[in-house]
Amino acid sequence: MTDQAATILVVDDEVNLAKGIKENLEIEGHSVEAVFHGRTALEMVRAGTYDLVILDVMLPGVDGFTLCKTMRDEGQTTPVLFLTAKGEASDRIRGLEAGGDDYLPKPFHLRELLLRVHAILRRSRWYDAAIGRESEIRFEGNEFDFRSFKGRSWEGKEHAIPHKEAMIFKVLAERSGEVVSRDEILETVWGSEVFPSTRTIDNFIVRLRKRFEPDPESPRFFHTVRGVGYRFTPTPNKE
Amino acid sequence: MTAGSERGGSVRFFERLDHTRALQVAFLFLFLIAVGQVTWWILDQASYASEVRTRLTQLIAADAQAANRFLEQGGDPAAITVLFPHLFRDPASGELAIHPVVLQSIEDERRRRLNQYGWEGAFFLVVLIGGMAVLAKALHQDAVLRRRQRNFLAAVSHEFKSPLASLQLAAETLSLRDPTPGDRGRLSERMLHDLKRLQVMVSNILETSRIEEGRIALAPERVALAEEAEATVEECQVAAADHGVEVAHDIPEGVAINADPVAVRTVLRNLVDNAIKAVGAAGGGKVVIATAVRDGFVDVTVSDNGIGFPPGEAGKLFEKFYRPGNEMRRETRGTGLGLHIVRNLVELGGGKVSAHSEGPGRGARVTVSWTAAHEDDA
Repeated sequence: MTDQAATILVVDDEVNLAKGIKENLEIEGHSVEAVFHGRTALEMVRAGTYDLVILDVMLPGVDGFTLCKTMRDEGQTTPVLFLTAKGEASDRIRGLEAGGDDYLPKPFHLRELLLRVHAILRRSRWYDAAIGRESEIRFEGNEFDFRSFKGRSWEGKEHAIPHKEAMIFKVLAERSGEVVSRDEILETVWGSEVFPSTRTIDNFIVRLRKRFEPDPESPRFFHTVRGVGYRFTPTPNKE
Repeated sequence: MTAGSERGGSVRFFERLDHTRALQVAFLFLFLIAVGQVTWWILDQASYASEVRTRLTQLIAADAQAANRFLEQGGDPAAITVLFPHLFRDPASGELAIHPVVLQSIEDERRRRLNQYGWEGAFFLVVLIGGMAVLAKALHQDAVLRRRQRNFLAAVSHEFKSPLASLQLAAETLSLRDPTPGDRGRLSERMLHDLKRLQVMVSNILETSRIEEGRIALAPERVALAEEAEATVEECQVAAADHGVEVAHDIPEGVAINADPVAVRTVLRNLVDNAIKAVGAAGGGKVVIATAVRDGFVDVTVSDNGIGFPPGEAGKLFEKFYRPGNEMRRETRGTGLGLHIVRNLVELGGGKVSAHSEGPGRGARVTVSWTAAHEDDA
């Protein structure tokens, strides 16, 4: 692995498994803490600063979905990798809806776990680096702060945008005027193994249009390039 | 994550409206229609009975008018008695009128009909409500069983996959890394521990299946409880240490029961294993096996200071698949089979089992009553 050292919290009530993951991630150079109870994990997430949380779903005290949703509701953007015996499609969707970044069913291969961890950290660092380059954007009366995930649209309405939506916005904004394919967005924001269909991104684009376009039916900023992907044009008149 | 949340919401709504819920809604709908139908029928019959009374009264009143006219036109009064037996001459007006006895009999008939319809309707409603109550209970039981089976599947899935994941991780760590001899020993211990968990769960599932198919044949003999308890304590030491639990027994030498020794070992192991989990979930504590001899029986009690349970759930603990609380936030591991096996093995051997707790967080005790062994069983 070529990751920079990260601080990772492993939450699993399977003590042997949690210890095994901790030891392997430590060998990779990360700093890892392992906890076995949902409530303890919530307290630690609130108190600490982690680069990644590896989270079981079935946990004593507070289940993983609730824990992740609570984190997101409280404004925590730390990436979450669900690692659980509940591996059905509906469970995956539920995990992602709760704000999870990736989902790995048990049992899993050690190499796959390490790759997923690497990919999540890479995506997370990409976003940090991207907002380091430009943390705010203003276009045609709209403004958005990628750091706080808050913005104001042309009609003066305040918006608090979910993490993933902001990441998609950032991917497009970084390459303003260029066409960005759905696969590129998917890979940068989630990693291509998470969703069965790239059409999922379409829903996020529709939301962005509803927030920032004066007429979402005839978009001026967020354009669909049929069969390819999307293009963001902050100054439509100069297009 | 927000994409598709509206769609997700509607999907969740239809997921909640499962087969059982749909049946319950349909059932309630039919019930309301049936009650409405019976009520309408009673009211309609009551209205009809009143209408019949009114018509009869009007007809007889017409008879009275005709008879009076007949007399006015010089008719023979003697013929009136023959032709209109339901009329009489009113002493006050001197005219023919409806006989009060006839009026009373018409009114009595109306009331009798109303009573009949009332009783028949009420009886029908009672039968309907009774039938529906039986159906509702069956539906409720079906829903409870389905929920438990779902929980069981989730629990079994978790209980299998978690140690398997741990085993795979340990094996791959051994294979991909270059562990020191110390690390290798630790990984091997974990693997053995996970294998033991899998073994216990497979045994429990097979045991349940054998019990349900009636393939268990108990062979009672004299069993020295102190020895069995000692062996159980020994067997559970590793799991107890992992959970920070102390396990001990307080059974004097010489206390013996008449039971199948394999069943006794399975029962004790399941009870102690359960108690260890409950105490471990409470952060550690103690599990004690003790006995009390009374009237030809020996009560074996496994008590702990673990997470306990609501007193109202004491009976449910022994039901198949029963797991207290939400499976997603389970405080203890398990499939809901251990205590079910305990009850079946104990009752097959003619014993009894009961559970008691003062409430959540206040510990628990499970008591098994076995027949005491006679001296000549030795």
